Amino acid sequence: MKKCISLLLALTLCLSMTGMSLAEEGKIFEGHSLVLTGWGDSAEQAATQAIVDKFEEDTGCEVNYMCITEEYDTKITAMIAAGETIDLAAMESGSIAYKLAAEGHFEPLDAYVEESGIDLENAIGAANYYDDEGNLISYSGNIELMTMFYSKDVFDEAGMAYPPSDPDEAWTWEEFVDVAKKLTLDANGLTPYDEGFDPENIVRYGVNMGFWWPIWGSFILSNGGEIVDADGNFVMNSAESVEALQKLADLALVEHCMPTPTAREGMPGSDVALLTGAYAMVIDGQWLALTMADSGVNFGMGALPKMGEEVVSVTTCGMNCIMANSTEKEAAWALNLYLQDPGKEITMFANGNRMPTDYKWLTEPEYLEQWAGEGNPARPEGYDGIIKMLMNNSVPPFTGTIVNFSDMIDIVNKEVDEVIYGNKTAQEGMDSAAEQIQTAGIELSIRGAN
Amino acid sequence: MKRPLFSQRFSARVLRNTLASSLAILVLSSGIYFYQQTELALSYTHTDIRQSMRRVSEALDRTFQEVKDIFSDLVRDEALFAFFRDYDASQMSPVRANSEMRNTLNSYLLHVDDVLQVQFLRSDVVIYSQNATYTSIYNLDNAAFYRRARELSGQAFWTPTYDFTQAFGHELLSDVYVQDRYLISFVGEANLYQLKNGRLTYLPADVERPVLVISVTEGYLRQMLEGFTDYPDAQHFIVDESGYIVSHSDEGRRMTVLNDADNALLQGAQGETVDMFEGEKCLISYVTLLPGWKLVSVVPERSIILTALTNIASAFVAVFLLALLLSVLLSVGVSRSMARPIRRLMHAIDRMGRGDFQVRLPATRDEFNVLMGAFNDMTCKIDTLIEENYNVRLREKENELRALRYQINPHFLYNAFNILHMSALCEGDGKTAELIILLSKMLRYVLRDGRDVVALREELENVRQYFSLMQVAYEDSIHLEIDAQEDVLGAQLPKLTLQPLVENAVQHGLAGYGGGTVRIEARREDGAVCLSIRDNGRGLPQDYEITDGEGRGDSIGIANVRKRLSLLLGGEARMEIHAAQGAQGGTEVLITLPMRAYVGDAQALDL
Repeated sequence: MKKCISLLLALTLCLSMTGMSLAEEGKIFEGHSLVLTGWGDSAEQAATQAIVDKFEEDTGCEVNYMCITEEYDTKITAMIAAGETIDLAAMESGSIAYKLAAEGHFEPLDAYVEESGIDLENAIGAANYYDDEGNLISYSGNIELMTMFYSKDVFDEAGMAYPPSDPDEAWTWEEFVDVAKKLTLDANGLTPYDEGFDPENIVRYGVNMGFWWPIWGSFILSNGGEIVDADGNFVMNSAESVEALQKLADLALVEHCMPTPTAREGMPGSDVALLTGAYAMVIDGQWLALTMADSGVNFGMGALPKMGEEVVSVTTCGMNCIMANSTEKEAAWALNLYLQDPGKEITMFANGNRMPTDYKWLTEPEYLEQWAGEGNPARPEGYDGIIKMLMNNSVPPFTGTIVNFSDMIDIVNKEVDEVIYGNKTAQEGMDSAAEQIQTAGIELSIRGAN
Repeated sequence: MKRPLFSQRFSARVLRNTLASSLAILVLSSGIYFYQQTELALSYTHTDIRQSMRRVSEALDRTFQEVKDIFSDLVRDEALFAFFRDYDASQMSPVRANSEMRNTLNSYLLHVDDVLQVQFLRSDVVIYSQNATYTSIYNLDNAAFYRRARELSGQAFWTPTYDFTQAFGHELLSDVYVQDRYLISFVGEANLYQLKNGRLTYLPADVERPVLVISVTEGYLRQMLEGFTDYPDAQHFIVDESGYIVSHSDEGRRMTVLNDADNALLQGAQGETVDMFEGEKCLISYVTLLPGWKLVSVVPERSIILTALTNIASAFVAVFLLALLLSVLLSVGVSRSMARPIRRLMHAIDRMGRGDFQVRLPATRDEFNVLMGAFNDMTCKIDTLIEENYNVRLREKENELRALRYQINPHFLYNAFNILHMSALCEGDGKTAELIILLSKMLRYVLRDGRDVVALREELENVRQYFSLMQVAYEDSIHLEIDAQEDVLGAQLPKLTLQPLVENAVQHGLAGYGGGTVRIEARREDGAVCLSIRDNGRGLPQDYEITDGEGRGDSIGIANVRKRLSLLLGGEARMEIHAAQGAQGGTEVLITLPMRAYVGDAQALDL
């Protein structure tokens, strides 16, 4: 009996050892370690951490995930300058990314994409970024676009029809302004259409929007204007562009259905404002759906109004770059795939924060169901219109398409601000911007074909 | 051994006493130990609370100091100085203003996590690190602290917890969930200056100074309070001079006011008292923080004691139980070992009482040896005494018996009987010759040498012979019945036990009564022989008494029999005379004696 038991023990020991070695062989990145940096609030951080944990589990690779919530650019550039190890980093395309790319800090990803069998044709291409040589420096599986949010309660109270979500049925600009004005109320309950309306005492604004390049860019393009033309000229002072910009500014200055910059200071965030009825409509990034759903607003999402013939929505997307001096590029790429695949972690897509780029996730019912199914509070009725807008009416972000965008944008922002504030007309502002760009010697061009 | 603890036995007493004394010692030492441990635990608890106080107050003061440092650094900042000096609202939108100043402000907050926001508030512009309070130039005057800053004009002050939606008049937001609603701010009119190359420049007099507001969330303070050690029902809070609660570990008590009595307990900059707080006796420790507010820890005394007790309770209980077990075992052991020799002694006495005088106790090596030795001596002596007395008595009895027997003697009588017999035969009186033979047999029986005991069958034969003689005298008016079982015939009894009794029965019972019957019954009952001599004659006289043989001549026989019975058999033989039961009346004599088989010589049987 004793002999039998000892034999059994020995056998078990042998088997377990072989089992262990086999398992170790299966973990491809056993013994490797990575540094991942990114930004995001607590929800994003949690979701990312979940993916990181899964990756660690599956591949045996150790990942040091640093979530930097404040001053990401400053800290990242400091880390790079100090020579600290970073393998996979989120990057802001409009600020530091292209400067770093120019310094050769990013690893080209074309080979990795091919090796992984990813078909870039079957996804929204706007999510990917290329450097001046045409190399892919960032690959993403998620994307954002500009969209409209509205308070159903406000519309119901006013007895008005909801904004359309299908971009093919989008409001014209005139229709949009009309609705916005009808929903604007002063302290006495008067709309801008009424006699005695007091613009100094508005309690509800028909619309609010953030004034940054994806917003005004969307309307400029919709109106037939451009930022930079094919020859590399700054053309925001062209007639169509200027018209679009002025129309936007006039929402506050003339139509009084949008808060002036000064008034906007004292307004709460969009989600709270919609909830309390301070705004009827908000035009902002799609990611707001998460906050809207969280705060319990009875909201809907609609297509942007079109200034010209078509709805245009400028997309934005964070960049995910592998650092050129990383010693763990293979592992970093593997981690990136994990982070970009909704199949690996669907939380941030389902909770409203992101939209996927892969066509199958945008069109096939069994995939749609997982992140935009019926009953998902972050995906209100008509959300398919938003998806349609992404697929048909979206354009890549200027940060990726315009070379030296980050140099230009500071000047442009200042002038746009003046226009919105009412200090200058759109024409004056954009002319001034053009002049300044010229003076500063900033060379603009359209980056490669995309 | 039922109820060993409560009986009066010596071992039980020893057990009780040992147990009681060891329990007393145990309780006493436990009490002392317990008391000491409690004191220790209490002082530990006090130290613990003090250390927590220090730790939390230091952390809080670090944050407050940080805020003050940021304040003074911002006031000195060159870019801000230039901005506020030159800002023209008609030229620059607030958005532009904030984008210009963003970097400057954020650089002060780069490594600071506990500050929520930094704001510069001026009637024409609001600059901020983030506009978490939704402040614009339109709602500045709503805030009491803004107005106060303007009044104090340059002197910065701490504003305890306020709800910013109320402070700035955001009516719509009063019911809505707003993150970071409750804030504590360091507020003051910032008299910005520039110190460059030794030259000090203040803002021009006509330039409106901005009010600088640096805010920390109340939630952050509460987090620190929650990091105190936890005693059940303890309260930790920060309170200002007027009793307004800035932050409380119980979120619901934020922004309430402490009642005057309790607030009065917080005298001086810091202290530690035990007093009644909100109706309960508590240990109150407090220390003053940088803003002049007090960090207070209130721990109810009972929860301190409870915690202290809990800490030592389990250890104490374990030790106590162990000690108890040991003392019980010890007591039992002691009592048993003490009682053992006593028990042995008791056993020996018991045996001795039953007649075993051979019992001896073994020698021991302790004081009990004296007792054991004395006992052994005693039994030895008794044994000897009995031996001597018994033997002496026995001999005396024998002598007496012999003497009694020798009352009657001589051999010559047999000759005389022979002559008489011959004579009777010669005279042709056969009957008389028979009687003479009977008498001769009887006499031989009586005078026969040898033992004084005979078998019952012999005694009965003797009785028959005597009765035959008597029947002549009484002309057959008397009869004899003998009923003796086979198994009793061999029983041993003293010679001439029955004859005198039968004689008595005839002479006193049947004579002059018209005759009657004497019935003798002999039975065996267990180890005893029961003899019954009954007559149906006259019965006993009223004043019948049995005497020793002295006195009336009639009773000699009975007394003699009785005496001889007792001499030979002692207490084992019994004789009783009483009226016979039944309608016939008469007298019955009952003799009980132990059954012993007669083992005698053959010669004696030859009658």
